[in-house]
Amino acid sequence: MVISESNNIISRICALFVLAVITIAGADSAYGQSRPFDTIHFGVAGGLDFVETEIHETWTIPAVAGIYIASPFYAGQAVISATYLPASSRSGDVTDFWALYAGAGLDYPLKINNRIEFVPGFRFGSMYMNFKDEPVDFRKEESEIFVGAELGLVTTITPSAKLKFSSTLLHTFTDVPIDVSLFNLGIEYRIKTPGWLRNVLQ
Amino acid sequence: MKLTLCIASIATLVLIALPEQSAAQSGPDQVLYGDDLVARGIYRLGDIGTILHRARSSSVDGFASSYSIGGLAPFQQTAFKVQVDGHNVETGFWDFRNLTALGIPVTDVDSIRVIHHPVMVDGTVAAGGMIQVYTRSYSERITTSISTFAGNESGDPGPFRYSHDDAILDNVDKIGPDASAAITINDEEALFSAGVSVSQLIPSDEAVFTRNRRIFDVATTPEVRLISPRLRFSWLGENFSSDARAFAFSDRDMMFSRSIAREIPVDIKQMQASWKGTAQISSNRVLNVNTSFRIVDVSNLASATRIPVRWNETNVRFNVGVRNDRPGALVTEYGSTVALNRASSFTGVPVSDQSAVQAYATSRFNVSSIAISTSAFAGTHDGELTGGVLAAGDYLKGRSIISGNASMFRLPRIDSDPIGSWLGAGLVASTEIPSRDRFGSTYGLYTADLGWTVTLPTMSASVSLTPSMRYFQDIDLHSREITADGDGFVVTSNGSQRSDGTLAGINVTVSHESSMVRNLISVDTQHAIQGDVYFRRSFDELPATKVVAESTIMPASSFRAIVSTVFLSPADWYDYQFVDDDPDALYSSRVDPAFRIDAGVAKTFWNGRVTTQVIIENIFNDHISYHPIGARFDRTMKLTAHVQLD
Repeated sequence: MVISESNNIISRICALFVLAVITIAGADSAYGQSRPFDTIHFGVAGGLDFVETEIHETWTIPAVAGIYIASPFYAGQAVISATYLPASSRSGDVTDFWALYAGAGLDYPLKINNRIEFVPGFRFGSMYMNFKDEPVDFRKEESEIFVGAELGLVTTITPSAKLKFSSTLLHTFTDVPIDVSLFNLGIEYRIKTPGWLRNVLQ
Repeated sequence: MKLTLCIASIATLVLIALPEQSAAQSGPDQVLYGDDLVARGIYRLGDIGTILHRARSSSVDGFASSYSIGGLAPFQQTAFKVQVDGHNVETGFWDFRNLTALGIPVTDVDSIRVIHHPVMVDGTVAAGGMIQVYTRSYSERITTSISTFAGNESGDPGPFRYSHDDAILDNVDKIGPDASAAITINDEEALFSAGVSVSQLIPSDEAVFTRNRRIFDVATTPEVRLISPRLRFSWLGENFSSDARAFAFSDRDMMFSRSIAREIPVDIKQMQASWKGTAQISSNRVLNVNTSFRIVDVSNLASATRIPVRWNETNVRFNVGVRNDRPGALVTEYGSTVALNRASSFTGVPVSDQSAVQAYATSRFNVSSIAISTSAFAGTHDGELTGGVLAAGDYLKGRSIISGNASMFRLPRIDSDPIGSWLGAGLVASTEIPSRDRFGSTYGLYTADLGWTVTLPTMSASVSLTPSMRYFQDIDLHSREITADGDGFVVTSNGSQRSDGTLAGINVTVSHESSMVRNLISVDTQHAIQGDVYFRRSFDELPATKVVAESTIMPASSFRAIVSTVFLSPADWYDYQFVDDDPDALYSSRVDPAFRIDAGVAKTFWNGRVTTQVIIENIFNDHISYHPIGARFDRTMKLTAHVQLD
């Protein structure tokens, strides 16, 4: 859902990071005592696009869906993620396409209280695009580098299950940059890493 | 641009201001070290063509490069030779070279020596110079390594291609992902290693598209993919050593065929095995035996059947030599090489068979060397594909090579290594004796080289000066050829000069290294003009000036940051003809000057076992179009990860 117009995504990223730094100043690391790869977090999330950028002049992005796997790292929490983004032509004159943001990154979870964690992080990777009705002379697929930032709030439902609200900004380095801003809601399940797997990862 | 100049200036000032420790270089041969290549963000061995002195390289959309390291025009039989740890290897044909096909990632390279002048090594005559690759040696009992690499250039249109009329494809899209894995097992006397490497390239540059659409009936450029497995088994005895190796590759690539003056998508499969044995047969004499077997098959990709290509070749080579080595005295070496080649082709002309026998003798001195080679070739041609020329019949030809070099400027008072050397003249002459249906011809390559390196250790840095000058003439005299003309043949006679020119240049390298910072500035200025009879009016001009400045900052042993600036002066490129309905067309362009800045960081984990690296090339996205076909090279991110376990 598009709720405002803005092309200045960079300034928004900066603003979010300032907010993150202010919050970090008053919070404790949630993984200060954790060993690397001690636990594994499996997550699914869905989100809505909320800032209008140049890509929205031609395509609409109804919703996104993603999965991620995270684990405590030597610093913060390592994350690998995949986010599916469909884009439908507004006029029907150009092809629809779908994209997959496949990336990795680092989160730095900060404990607000016993139930809530504040989780700022960054992502980078490749945005894979598949064009549905490629007309002529061009491959149906393309990929480009993307970078992103994320701010999240994680609250405990059960000892193993968490609910995660997050805001994500993704910037793709195409000739005309593709910027999307997402509000996400997800759920993640945390397990203790099996010994053999932790040894492999470490 | 101002910012990039500012950073370059700062790098220069840091170089001048920081004290102590020097790096040394002796002789004018260029030496590249694996660690430095990794630091530059080079992962594929074939990509070194861009940083060689006195070299010209061209590779648009494949792994195979047309590059000459001796100032000679490419597409000729004088292309350089390649050795890996003393083994002769072939990774190309039609005078292309594909070092990436060796399957050796740069992380597994100890060093590379680049010899720009005619040379003979263990009976291998390399009129166009030689590249010698030395791989790392591991002392641990078991060493395993895994590497991966991927790159992506930013600036493609993405979906805006459909909504913005001015959106174009700017660059080669995806580089990789590449991967390699290797294991080395060491015993006291024996060593076994095995490895495999995979490389991929998906080009999408609009300029490449446009050209390929005109050449092939394919809408897009084929994705190129290279898979290279390799094996090695070595045994080191008290007076005897044995080293057996094998490698193979399967390569979907874009290759230039001089016979049809076009680049074509091909599927190449090759296997090569070699063995090298060394025995101490007396106190002063060493027996060397080298033998190799190679089979290669080349065919069209199914998607590009407009130009049918079929080529296969078998090579067997056996060399035995004795080196008489008396310390402080004359070192002599003599031996013989027998080489048998059989090649078959179908590219619109009949089959070609060839056999060759070669003998050589060399003499070498400890401070200077003269190498003399005489060779004799004999065989039968049912057809030979050379520039669209069909020749048939038996033939006999002889060849002689004389080359020499000397090292001097030794400083007796400190008993230093030679700090300078000069290179002498090279002569390659081949006379074909008329027989049956074959007309005689003479081919000659005449070179004169002068070059030396002077290294001046100073208080704060090492300064190396390598001026060089080369005159060369690559000539084919009085050849008489039979060319196909419809159903019949036409005998033509011509004296052709394939290329000639002068190449003069100077390389100035200033290097400095301390515990935290290493700086290097290399300035190459050179001038060469070449001509090529195959592309009658074509000639190339190398970039006159190439300046590379690098700073490496190592605040901790596990972290490294690199800033590199590269300047290439403008150049003219006149390349091959390729248009069906205009056989005299030349692909030419004025190439803009290029200035780019690259930056990267590398981090090692787990006591150095894991290394990750991010390199961003052309970080200010200056839309460099330094390429003969006008392809643009924008900001590129390269990611490398290497894991080594002992």
